[in-house]
Amino acid sequence: MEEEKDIFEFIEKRSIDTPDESYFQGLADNVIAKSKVPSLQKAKIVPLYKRPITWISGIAAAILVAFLLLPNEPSTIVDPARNANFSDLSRQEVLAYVNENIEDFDEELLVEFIALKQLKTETTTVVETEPEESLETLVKTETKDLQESLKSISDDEILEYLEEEGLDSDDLEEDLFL
Amino acid sequence: MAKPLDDSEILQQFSQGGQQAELAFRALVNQHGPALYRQIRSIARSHELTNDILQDVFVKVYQNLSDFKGDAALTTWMFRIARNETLNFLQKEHRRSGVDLDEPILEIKAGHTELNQLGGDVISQLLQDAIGTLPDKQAIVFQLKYFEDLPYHEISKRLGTSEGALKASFFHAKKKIEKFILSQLNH
Repeated sequence: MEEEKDIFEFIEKRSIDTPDESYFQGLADNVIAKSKVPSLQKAKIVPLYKRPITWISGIAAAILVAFLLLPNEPSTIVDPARNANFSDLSRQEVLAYVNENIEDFDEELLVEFIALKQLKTETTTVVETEPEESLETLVKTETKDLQESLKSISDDEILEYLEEEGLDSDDLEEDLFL
Repeated sequence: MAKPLDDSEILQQFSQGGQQAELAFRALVNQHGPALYRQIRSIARSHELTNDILQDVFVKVYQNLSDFKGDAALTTWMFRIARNETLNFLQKEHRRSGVDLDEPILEIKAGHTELNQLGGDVISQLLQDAIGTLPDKQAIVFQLKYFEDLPYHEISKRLGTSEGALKASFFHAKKKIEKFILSQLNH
């Protein structure tokens, strides 16, 4: 019985012309040159959730939307529709909603909100802060009375007090790095 | 003439960056370029198209080589890139029209009832379609054994697979290709 032949026995390959070595050297040069051009370099793909701007925008959106939704200042105008919608919501529920739908709050919403807020602002109170006192000045001021009262106590009285309290003046000096 | 670098040496040298990376890349193109060229040209069937595709392939290789994890052999990885780039390029550009094509890579010998009816173009295309259905590993083994005529020990070195596994892989690849072609002919 004749052995069954596979189809490859009836197919003949033709050789494929291949360029010489200099072609491949030139090819490597071209590729290296191409890859050095910034516009052709691979753009680093950073997932959206890893981009800092996404997080910053998201957090900012959450805060602003929370302010928008939570009645945090008394209003003289009562909006019944608004009350009907939000009066039953707790602060936690609103925050949970904001967290769940953080992707829906985009920059346009924020811009719109800020513009609205600015229009509503009638007066702006500028609180001027006094320059900070130095720590040394602060300690001196705060302990002025104590220092005055200590001046009126003699050394003997202090030693007597320490003895009564069971404290050793040498230890105290060590503790105070004196 | 400098001693050829093996794949691990190429990767190690490439990771150093700068001039060393460029040298490693030149070695890689020099060593793997011809086989990739033939692989692409067997599908694209024109030097002009092959040249464009091969450049794209090596740009991808250059840009991604530092991220290459070594999950597969470098040869397999580049073979896969070349195959995808070739098919995408030809599909996207419809570039074969207006280009002088090479002679088909295959021709039929007399004696097979079903194959006798086919021309070289048809059987070449059927073979490429059949290779496209194979898993990557079988496809690369078939490419290196059938088209490149490499001995098993050389393929084993390139792919990091035992010769026995390669023989089995080649056998299965041929069987699947035959089945695919005959099913297309009888369709």
